[in-house]
Amino acid sequence: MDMVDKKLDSVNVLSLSGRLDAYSATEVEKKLDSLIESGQNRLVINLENLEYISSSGLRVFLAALKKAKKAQGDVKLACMKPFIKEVFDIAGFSQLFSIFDTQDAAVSGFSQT
Amino acid sequence: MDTVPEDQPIARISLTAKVEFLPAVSSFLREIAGKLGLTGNDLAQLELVTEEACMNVIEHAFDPGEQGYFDVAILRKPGKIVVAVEDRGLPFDFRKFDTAQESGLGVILMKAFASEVYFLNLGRGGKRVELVKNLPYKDVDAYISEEEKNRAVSLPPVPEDISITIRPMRPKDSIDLARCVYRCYGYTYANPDVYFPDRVKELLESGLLISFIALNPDGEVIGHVSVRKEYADAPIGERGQAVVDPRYRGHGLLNKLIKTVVEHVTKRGMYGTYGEAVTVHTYSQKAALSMGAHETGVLLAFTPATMLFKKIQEEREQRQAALLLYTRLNQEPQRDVYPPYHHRTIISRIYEINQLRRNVADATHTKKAVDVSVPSMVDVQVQTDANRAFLLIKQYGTDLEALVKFRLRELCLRKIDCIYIDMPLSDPLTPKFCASLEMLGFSFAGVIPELSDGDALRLQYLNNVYFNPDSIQVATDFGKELLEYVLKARG
Repeated sequence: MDMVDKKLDSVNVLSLSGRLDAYSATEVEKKLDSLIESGQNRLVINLENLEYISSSGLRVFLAALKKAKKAQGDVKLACMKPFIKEVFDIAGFSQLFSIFDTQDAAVSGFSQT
Repeated sequence: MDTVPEDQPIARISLTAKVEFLPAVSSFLREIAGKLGLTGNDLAQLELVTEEACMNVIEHAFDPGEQGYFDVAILRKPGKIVVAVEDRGLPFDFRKFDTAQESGLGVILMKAFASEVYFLNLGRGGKRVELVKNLPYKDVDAYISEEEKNRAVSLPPVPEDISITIRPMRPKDSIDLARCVYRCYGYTYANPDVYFPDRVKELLESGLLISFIALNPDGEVIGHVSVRKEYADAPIGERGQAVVDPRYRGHGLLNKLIKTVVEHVTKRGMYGTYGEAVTVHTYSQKAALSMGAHETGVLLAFTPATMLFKKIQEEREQRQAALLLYTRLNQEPQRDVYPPYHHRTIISRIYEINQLRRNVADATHTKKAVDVSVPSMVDVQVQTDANRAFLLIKQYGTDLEALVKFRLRELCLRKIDCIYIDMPLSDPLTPKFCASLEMLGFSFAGVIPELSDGDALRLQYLNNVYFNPDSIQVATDFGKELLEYVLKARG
């Protein structure tokens, strides 16, 4: 699992590459926690290069969303591959998150709120 | 690859039960399943359900600090890949899962992505979860032309004196069978296997499917009947996949096909065949009854509304009941059976009508008590396509009611429509537990002779599924008596 984060205006964009399974979920959770705890709670997660996700990965996203919202922020998701979208749809997570086709649209989503 | 017996794994790995080894399981699965023909989304889906099953083992099968191991084995069965996750850890402790949240997400994904899921108890051999994924074989659509699709209906009936050949089906006939089913039913036939010629071909080659087809003088397949076995030397089989081209109705073709297949399996020494006949009409019931079948139960809401096939995008209608029918072919072993007292009369009637050699005994005389030292063992099979599940009681323990309650709740959370539980009638403890399971919402459905080393008493549970009792049609007086009993038992 590779993670790269960068700041675009007031939004933090975290790009994930590879596989988000039960093993890598811990690492991603730590990263998201550290961002939110440091006050960077307006997050876009770019999933363009994420190949796989399991229920452990979904739980990490859900926990991050709860923490960000509690801190008056949000987590928006961008560029999902079809398999990732299918998992989100089946788990009922597509209704919980704002999901965008492009990273730019997700970042712009923050300026509209 | 073809030389590996279907009950033997193609590959197996053994790992320490630690989350850091999960990526190794995924690599192993991708490598082997990829070679077996699973790719893309299908492979990712199988990886996901395998990870969920492995995580259950890692998190729940061993005491904290215990160095546990588990195995992942991959098997190739006709038309499908099976991943088995096995451990010899703690006996299954459902109390650990006793929150909806904890097991909810994983099981929702498992239900969506696996074709079938089995939870098996291996006794001292531990526990085994089997995840089944059907291979993505081409369906009939890939084999037929547009012209053939368009001439699917409204052909005139064929004169009755035409010469028809009936013979055993060969693997290479499977495409012609798929064409025949498509011509007759479009995509609405209840058993989806027939639309996948390669799947049928592999079942025939493995001996698990015994099929006969009828051909017209042009060599076109115009009818089919089969017997499907759970395993190669199973003493009974499920009769089904009855198809007759509408142009040839009125030729007595269905009866001839059934007679042929029944004679064939009788010669092979099978005790009998069972089947689930639809109840929206009585034609298939009458065909089976004329060949010596008798009713043994009624499965309310058994058949899915859309007749299973996923390409049908119909508006959801209600599920339909099925009539359980058994055809006795050869003399089965004489058995003592212990029906619950309150169902004794109807079960005795079922045995009498079916002329089975059973001694209906009183469990109190056996003085068999529940062994408090052993846990209950219940296997679970989930058929995701048909959205129904089967629980098979392998061993009674004092925790049976709690275990079934847990499994029931889990299946209800997965929104499984129909849940059946099979209780061994040869076990004197069955009367002791039947009523308590009925208190959980199960009700009497019927008996399946010789299902699993003896007869099974089947109870049924409908998970908020509506069915219309007035729409259920049965052909005989005994069928009506049984239906009335089943409806009354449901309350």
